[in-house]
Amino acid sequence: MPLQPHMQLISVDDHLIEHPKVWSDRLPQKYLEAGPKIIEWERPDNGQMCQVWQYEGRIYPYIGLNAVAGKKPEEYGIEPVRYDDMIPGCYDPKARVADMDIDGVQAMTCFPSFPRFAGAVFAEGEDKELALLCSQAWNDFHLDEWAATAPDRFVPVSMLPFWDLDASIKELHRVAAKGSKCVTFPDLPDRLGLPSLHSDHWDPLWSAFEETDLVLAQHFGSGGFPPPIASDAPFAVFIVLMGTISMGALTDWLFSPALHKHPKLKIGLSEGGIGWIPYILERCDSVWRKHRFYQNINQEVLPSDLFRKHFHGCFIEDDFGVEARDKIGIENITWECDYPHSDSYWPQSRERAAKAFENVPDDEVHQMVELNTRKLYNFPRAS
Amino acid sequence: MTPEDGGPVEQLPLDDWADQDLLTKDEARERLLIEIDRAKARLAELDENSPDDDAEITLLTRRLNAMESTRDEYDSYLRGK
Repeated sequence: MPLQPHMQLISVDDHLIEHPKVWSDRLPQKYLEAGPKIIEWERPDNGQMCQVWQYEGRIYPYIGLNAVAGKKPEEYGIEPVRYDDMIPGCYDPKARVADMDIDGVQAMTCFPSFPRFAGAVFAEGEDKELALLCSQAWNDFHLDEWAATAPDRFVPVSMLPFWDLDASIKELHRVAAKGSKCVTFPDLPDRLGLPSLHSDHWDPLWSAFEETDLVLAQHFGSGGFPPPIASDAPFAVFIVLMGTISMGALTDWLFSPALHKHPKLKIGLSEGGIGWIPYILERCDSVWRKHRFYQNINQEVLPSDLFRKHFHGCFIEDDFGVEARDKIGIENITWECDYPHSDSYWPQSRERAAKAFENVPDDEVHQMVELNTRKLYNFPRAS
Repeated sequence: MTPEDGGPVEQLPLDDWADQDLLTKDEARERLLIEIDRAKARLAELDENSPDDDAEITLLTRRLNAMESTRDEYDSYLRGK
């Protein structure tokens, strides 16, 4: 059995659901009314009462699901979800650890839900002082309350007020000092109306990432860019294509000047899968070889070499990716379980991982499920 | 043919864009019931074939207890719903 009992499973992509008091416990009095809070809300289409977030008077008609972000409320097909309907491990870190024990998972990396995967909801805020405080409040909640419950079981995550570069750099240093290991940042930031990766706008922030040695995590869809599909396509098409957002984000990085100027950047492609990586690297290298003579792109380094130096992908179930691990790079692969989304195999994650790795040498399995993540995220085993 | 092999499944009366992405108590309970049965079967197998394997029996028993405790919480919630 290649997945040995001494190997600890560390997942680099999971989610938490913010409990109702995350912001009301932390925002100044003057912002309690406008800040995010849970209210009872009657759905306009069917009159059903449900619990929703309200922020600056806007209704966000989901508390646990953000795959629907970007759709109009009348297009939501979801049944209302109340906290009582959720498993407590969604919002209670002690219950989460109990579920991790059942699942055979040692540690998780939990992304936001209501603010979206990189906090883009706060970029929509009209009051930017409030938006900054909301983003900081989420970080304080995650670092002081969620991850602090079991420091050896949660890889601490933070977000940035990315609409304000100077504030982002300041916040990055603040959360690094508080013990954060990973910062979520929107993939394809231009889709949020921000400068793209090809501009020099972000250089001071990338330098701050290098100085702090934090992982820059790009969860697919964190830039709010849905895959382009027909308006009448079934949801299945959307789900299948979500991972291709990571393909787009990676290609953007590989042809931008950023990685050449910031050789120590570490970037995680969260929840994007890995099977597609050999194809896109081959394609990037081919385009680079054939077209660089008239392109304003770096002329010296192969895109695939940049990938191996800067990126790691992750997967829940990706047999093709595991087979192609040598072409991806064993050190560029990490594991995820995506709890509490229904894509996860809870409570069989460990068993499913053992099956996925049954034909892989032990030392490579150990690298992918634990050692790569401990090294990349500076998350050593507790002594 | 099982549902996993592409066999027939019960169609839910939901909109095509219904998002079922969050693990709810109903689904978590269903998954736990399956896993509890598997853990019990494995324990019975150990009792019969490897009764001296205290380490695995202890670990498995602890996991089984945790799963049963969580199942009981969900049962209690779903009965009161």
